[in-house]
Amino acid sequence: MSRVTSTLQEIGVLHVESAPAEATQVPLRPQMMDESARRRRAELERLHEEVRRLLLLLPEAPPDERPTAQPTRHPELTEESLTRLADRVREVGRQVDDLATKLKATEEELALLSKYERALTGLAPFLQFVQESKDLDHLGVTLDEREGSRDLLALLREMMATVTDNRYELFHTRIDAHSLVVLLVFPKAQSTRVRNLLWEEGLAELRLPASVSDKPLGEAVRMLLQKKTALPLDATRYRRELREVARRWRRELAEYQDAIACSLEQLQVSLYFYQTEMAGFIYGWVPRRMLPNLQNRIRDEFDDKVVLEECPVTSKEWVGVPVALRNLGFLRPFETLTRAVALPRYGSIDPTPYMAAFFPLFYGVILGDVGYGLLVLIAAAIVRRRYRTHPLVRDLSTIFLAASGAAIGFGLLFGELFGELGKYVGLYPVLNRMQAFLPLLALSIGIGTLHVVLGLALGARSAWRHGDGQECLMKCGGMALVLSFIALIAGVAGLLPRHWMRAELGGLLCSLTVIFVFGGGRGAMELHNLVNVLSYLRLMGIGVASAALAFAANKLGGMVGNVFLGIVIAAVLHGINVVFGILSPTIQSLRLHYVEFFENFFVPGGRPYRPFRHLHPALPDRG
Amino acid sequence: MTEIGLISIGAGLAIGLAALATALAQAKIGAAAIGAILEKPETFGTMLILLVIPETLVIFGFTVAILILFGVK
Repeated sequence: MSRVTSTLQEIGVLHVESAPAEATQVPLRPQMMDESARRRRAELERLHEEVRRLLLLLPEAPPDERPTAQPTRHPELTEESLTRLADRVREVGRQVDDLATKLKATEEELALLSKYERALTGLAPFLQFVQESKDLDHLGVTLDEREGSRDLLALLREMMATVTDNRYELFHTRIDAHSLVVLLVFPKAQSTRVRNLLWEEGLAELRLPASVSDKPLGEAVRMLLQKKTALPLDATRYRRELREVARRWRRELAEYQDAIACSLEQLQVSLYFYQTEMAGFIYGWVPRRMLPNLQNRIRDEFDDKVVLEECPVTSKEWVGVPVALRNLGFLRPFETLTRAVALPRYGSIDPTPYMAAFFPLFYGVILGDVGYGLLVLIAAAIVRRRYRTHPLVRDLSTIFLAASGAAIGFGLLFGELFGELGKYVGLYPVLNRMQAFLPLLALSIGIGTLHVVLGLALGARSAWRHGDGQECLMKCGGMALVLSFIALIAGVAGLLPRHWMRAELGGLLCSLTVIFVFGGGRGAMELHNLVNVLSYLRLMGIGVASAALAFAANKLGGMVGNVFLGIVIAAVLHGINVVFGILSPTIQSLRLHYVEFFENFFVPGGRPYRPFRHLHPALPDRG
Repeated sequence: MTEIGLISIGAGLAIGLAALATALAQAKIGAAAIGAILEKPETFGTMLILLVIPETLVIFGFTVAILILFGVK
């Protein structure tokens, strides 16, 4: 069983699950974890946590010092190798803990000293005038002038004169706008009275850190000032030593973490094994295209000792089938947008390719400015380069690269470069967004019609695949309804010949009949698609608002009368507009997909396909 | 009042009232959505959809305003 588990992990395509009751005709006994396996799991979990903690404590190497080779994968952890690994982790842990503790203590002491720094620096020059004597005592006081309306220095002088019968010295210096530090020297016999009176008057005696609190003030200040110089050097040394340990061990610890995680997963998966009198059994899902590979590998490894049986899946069982999205490489980043809502259910349509086509289009129509598009393009390229190892950020930045390209394209069509500044570089609008409102309105409705009808067509196709003829006809009726309604509106507006109107009205009535005959009460929902088409007017609305903001930025910049100030104001306003330009078109484009487009065909609720595999499947085993 | 003045007031009311209605709806949905996302971050996509649904109102208001200003002869 152990070999089967590790081989399945090596192949990495099986999504393991509990077997349904009807999976076999013989009674199945689930595999139980015995005492030694439980102990092993506890030890592995402890080590995993310990390694994770050490990796958090160890600093990451700077990018230029990081190893270029991929980490290698450890072979399966045997009892012996696990003991060796635990010893190694303990040894590294001791070094790391020792250094981390020292560093933390040093940093805390430094932080504490920085609180005293100004007071200590203020006192230090006076201390050289104070002679150490067994009859004299001295203490520091900080006075905050914001407390009360009294003249604290005068009050202190008066108090000291009374208590010591004028036998005292007072040195003071200002340490900031509101505070003074004062050094008092007086007969030791009066120490208790002086301290009591300071407390009664609410004057703050300078409290030194615990490490020097038992020392005379002069010595304490000297020690603290010395520490202030020495501690940063200590902290630097500890950090350097930690970096050395990290350079020596970090990669190895990451490999340990990987090996431990793999072993833990194997243990976890072993619980999905079932037993009969004579055999073991495991159940799971594999994408059909990967099945031959799994079959071949199992046959090569175990000959006929392990049998792989393919179970047929009926369309009624599709609800429970895990889903793996499969798109061409350049479309894959757009899967992130699909997943943001939900995974499509198995057997339904994956909207990713359509999002890849329409999201940049919508974004481009809304933003539609060469300058803003270029700024978003540059930002996306920088983010993509900087975070190329972070899948989510890389995918999002790739999406924005495509979207900003579309924004530049539509910017050329609208003749906009940071608003109307395009005219200064010979960029003139084919379609002026600040004037041609009605053509833009028609363009938005046209795009909306295309998108909604595509959604309905996908819905019809999906219904046909599921053998639901009525639903399919209802969706076809929906398409005819949207097309004939929009054609009718275009006819009324004079965009289509008047004599077509009779045919358009006929189409409208026929489509309504088809919808209600085949869809019944549900048919009423199809009428909502007419409102959905109008929702695409936001492409024009938000776009015109974006253009108006750019024009306003230039106008305000030009009204100042000072070229430099005008440029600054325009730049700030354009900066704000770029931020809106990233957020608003994104949200509106997503909304048009999630609400208006998905409504007609998207079936959410797919379970993600999670194959049992190594964390670094492409890595070779250590030799 | 001149004809252009009345037209402008009509356009302003069309978009202003629609924006007000959108704002009222989004305020309530937004507050609830933030609570839901804090409880279940995976509902972000759904909450985004719910939040932006009322925006259709202001888009319609804007379109009506445009039609009032430029489309009605």
